[in-house]
Amino acid sequence: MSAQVHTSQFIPIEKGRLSEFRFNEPTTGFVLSASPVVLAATVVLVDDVSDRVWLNGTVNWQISLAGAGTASVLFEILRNGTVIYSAVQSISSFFPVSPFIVFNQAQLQHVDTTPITTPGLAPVLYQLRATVLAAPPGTISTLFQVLSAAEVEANLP
Amino acid sequence: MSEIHAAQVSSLEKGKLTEFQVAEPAALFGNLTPPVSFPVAPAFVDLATVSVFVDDTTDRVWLNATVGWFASFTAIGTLEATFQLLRETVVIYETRQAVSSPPSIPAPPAVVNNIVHLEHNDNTPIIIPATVTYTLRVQASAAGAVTSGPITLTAAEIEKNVVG
Repeated sequence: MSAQVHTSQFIPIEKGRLSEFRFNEPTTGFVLSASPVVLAATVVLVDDVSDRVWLNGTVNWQISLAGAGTASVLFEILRNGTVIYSAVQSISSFFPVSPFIVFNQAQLQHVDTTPITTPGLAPVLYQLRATVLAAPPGTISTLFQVLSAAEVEANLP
Repeated sequence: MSEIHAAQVSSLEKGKLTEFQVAEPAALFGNLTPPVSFPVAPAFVDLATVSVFVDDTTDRVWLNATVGWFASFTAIGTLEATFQLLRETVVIYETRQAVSSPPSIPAPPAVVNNIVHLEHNDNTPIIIPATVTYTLRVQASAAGAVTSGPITLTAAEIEKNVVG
């Protein structure tokens, strides 16, 4: 049981709790390209098949443009090498001047409802990665990235 | 087990997260089939709904929503989307995000993507213990805005803190 043994004597037991919070916050930027680049990674120890893992990722990125146009980046979250979440964000610039830097920030959120499928404690690797889908001439890079992951226990039935 | 020990030697901490709920109609870009077009104001379209059973009037509900969306421009311009969170039928949070086309559209349409994140703390979810339903919905300033995923809406009860 837990500290809530004490609490549960007075109020109904509540579930769906957050536990085993992990994060990875590389403070250096990465240059992005058409090949996937892993920006952050963390391992969560999951102990129950009914557990969910709540994943939150934030990437601050920029393009140093050599001309006007639209850059699009695919952001993905992987569980043990398999893509389980993806989103695309663009930067458009009207200014055909060089160099010209434009910023954006991608906020990702995913709930992995099947982190493990067999009972027993297991490490689960989560990765946040980015791939350039399309871009005008210029350099695309990240300034900051964070991936946080927490086990969330099953709710009350 | 270790928490028993912790409770014996330190004060009981509160403000805990419980009853975590999620609605995720699509987790991958392009996975929402068919894609959902954003209606032009004043109409809205619902993107996701979650329900949380809130058992105490001192509970808060922490809401987080993320939506990947895009606009297909056939002419240069800017398109704005309005995202709202509702408790039952009452709007409790609203945010707007815009995307702009590039300066020229050589091969229409020019697709510009964005990701919106909404975060809101519902400080007064209930007046009596009840199941509360939260809805994420959207509208656009003009035709051409679409989501094909991802859409994620989470809600969690947060109990009152030790003090305040």
